[in-house]
Amino acid sequence: MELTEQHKREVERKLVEIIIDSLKKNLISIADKNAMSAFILERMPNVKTHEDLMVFLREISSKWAIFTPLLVTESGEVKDKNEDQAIDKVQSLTQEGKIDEAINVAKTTVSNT
Amino acid sequence: MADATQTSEVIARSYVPETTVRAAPLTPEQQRNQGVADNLRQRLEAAAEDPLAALKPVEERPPLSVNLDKELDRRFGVEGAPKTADEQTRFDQAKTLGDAAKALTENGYESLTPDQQNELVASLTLNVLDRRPAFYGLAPDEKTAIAIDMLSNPTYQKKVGEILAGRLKPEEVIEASKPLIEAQTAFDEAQQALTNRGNERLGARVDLVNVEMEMDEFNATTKFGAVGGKFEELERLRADESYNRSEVDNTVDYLKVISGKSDADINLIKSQVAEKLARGEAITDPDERMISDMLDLQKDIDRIGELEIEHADLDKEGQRLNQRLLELPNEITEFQHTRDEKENELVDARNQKMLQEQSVIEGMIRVAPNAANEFLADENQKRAAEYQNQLKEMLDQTKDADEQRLIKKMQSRWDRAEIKGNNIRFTIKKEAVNKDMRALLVGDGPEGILKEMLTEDLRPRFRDSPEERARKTQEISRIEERIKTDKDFVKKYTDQIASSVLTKKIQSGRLYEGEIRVMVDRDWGEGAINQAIANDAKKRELIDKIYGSDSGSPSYVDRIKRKAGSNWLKFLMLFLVGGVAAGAITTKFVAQEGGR
Repeated sequence: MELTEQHKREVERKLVEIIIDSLKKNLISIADKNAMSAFILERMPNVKTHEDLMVFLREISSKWAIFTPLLVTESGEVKDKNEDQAIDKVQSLTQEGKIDEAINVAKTTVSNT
Repeated sequence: MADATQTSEVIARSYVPETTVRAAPLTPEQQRNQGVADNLRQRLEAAAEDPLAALKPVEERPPLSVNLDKELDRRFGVEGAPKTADEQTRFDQAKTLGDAAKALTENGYESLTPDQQNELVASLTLNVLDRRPAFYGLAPDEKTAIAIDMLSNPTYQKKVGEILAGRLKPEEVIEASKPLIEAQTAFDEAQQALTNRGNERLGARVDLVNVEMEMDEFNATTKFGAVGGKFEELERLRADESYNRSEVDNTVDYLKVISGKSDADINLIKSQVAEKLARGEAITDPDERMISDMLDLQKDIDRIGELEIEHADLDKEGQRLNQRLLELPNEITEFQHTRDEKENELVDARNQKMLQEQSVIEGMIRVAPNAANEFLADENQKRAAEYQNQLKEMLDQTKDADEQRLIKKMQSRWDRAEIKGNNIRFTIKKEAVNKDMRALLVGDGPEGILKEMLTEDLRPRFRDSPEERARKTQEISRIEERIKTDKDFVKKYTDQIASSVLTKKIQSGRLYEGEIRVMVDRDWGEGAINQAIANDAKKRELIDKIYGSDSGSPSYVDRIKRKAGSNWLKFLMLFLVGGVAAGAITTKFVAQEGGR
């Protein structure tokens, strides 16, 4: 699923905000901030889809736990968007009379979530 | 899923558990964290469209072009020798200052320890801001904010690096070291010579006592009342001398005549006897026994000579020592004098070296303020150049002869252009600015200045021909008539004149609150202040940033009045004080002030 520029910017802003707040609360050091910045600047340009974003967030959260809540939030958003897209697809397949395909899409979506 | 109404900042804050916030006081590292976080926040706000830009490393800073430690080290004490305690203290002082300037140049303000930050802020406040009239009206925390902003400016930091490197040139010869080394060597030599003479006198005194004691042994009665040992020995030997001599002669005669020994035989026996006696063997041969007895007698005879020589030598040595002891005090006085001279020269050389070291410390202290003064001068130059460019553009755009004349007058009325190398440097003519400021506030206002500028070349002169006088009179009348009737022309240029005078006054001196009050009450005042702000891109940006762009009112004064409430005059002051000050006041600081 494609990631809009606006959403990507929001995530980027949240990443920076998390770093700022963690510095303010002395949860991380300046060296941590530099390592995180380097990691984000290197990986973020390659994030094009929601799937890329989730992979990136899982990876950064496994390195630095301060990003885990963002991963959780974004996972919820991706799940909602996937469900919305699946419902649209089931509806259009049903309207086209492709009942079996519609059932398969619905089943796949349910099992993935 | 996140609440869409929450801002990303609020969401992000919610991720960080509050319970982990540590209580004050903060460690230096934690204080640095706060500084970095604040800096990151500012960069994030400045790059709303590209949040990751805030994470990008700040422009690469080249390392300081000189080896700070090495260059400072060779400027304190004498190269190759251990530093004295005083030299070490001065070196440490210079190094503390140099380290802070180096860290600022290479790693930026946030890399400094809180102590270094406080020292530099205090230095800029005391040595720069407190000495410039433009900043007089500011409160201490406002000056601190300006100092911090300047210290955080990469252009300023680069200047600090240039000045620091310029004061620690590797090719610089440390002039005061050579004389100090020479003076130290000369003093050491003089001191050694004096010590040698002192030791000699002491040795001579001891030797003389010994000589006198030995001489005393030759006296019939010694100092202690006894008979001198060597006197007694000599008396005894002399008493026996005649007998001993005849006995020796008799023995030799006997050996020659009776025993038939030659001189060579006698000498051989003498040596054989001597050897036997040395070995402790018994002398049994009658000839040898005679020789042995003879040798004993001869020894007593020889001993007289030895004692006489010893007495003569002691007498001679005693005379020599007495003579030396008479000479040495004068020599010692002379060497003391030389030593004192060399010591004075050494003290002078040390003082010279100390002054040189103090000047290095002073140079280190002045790095940050000097960089600040250059930075502010550059900023003012930029503004002066911008102003001159504006006038040039205005000149290019008009065909009106009066306007052209006015603009040309404005080009040189408040600025003096000087060519320095390939650059033109502008200096504000303070007296002209102050005179026009007085005219604005208590004289005929901007219209009076406008009229003066248009007519000052038309004043009648003694050598003017009647035709020329008539032409000038006619021209003055025409100008007066235009000022009366051409409202657009007058409005355009009185605004320009008032804002120019105000801008130059702000850049070159102090603006008082009362003056601003008077100005805003004049019909031209608000327009002039607005134009002065509009003339400065940094001020414009700052006001837009804090109060929002335009917001339906093009008047900066009006916007500040509305947003800052009862504090509006203070904030207007803050924006107007010094062309640089407003640019240096951080958004955060002014925003905080506005929130009070």
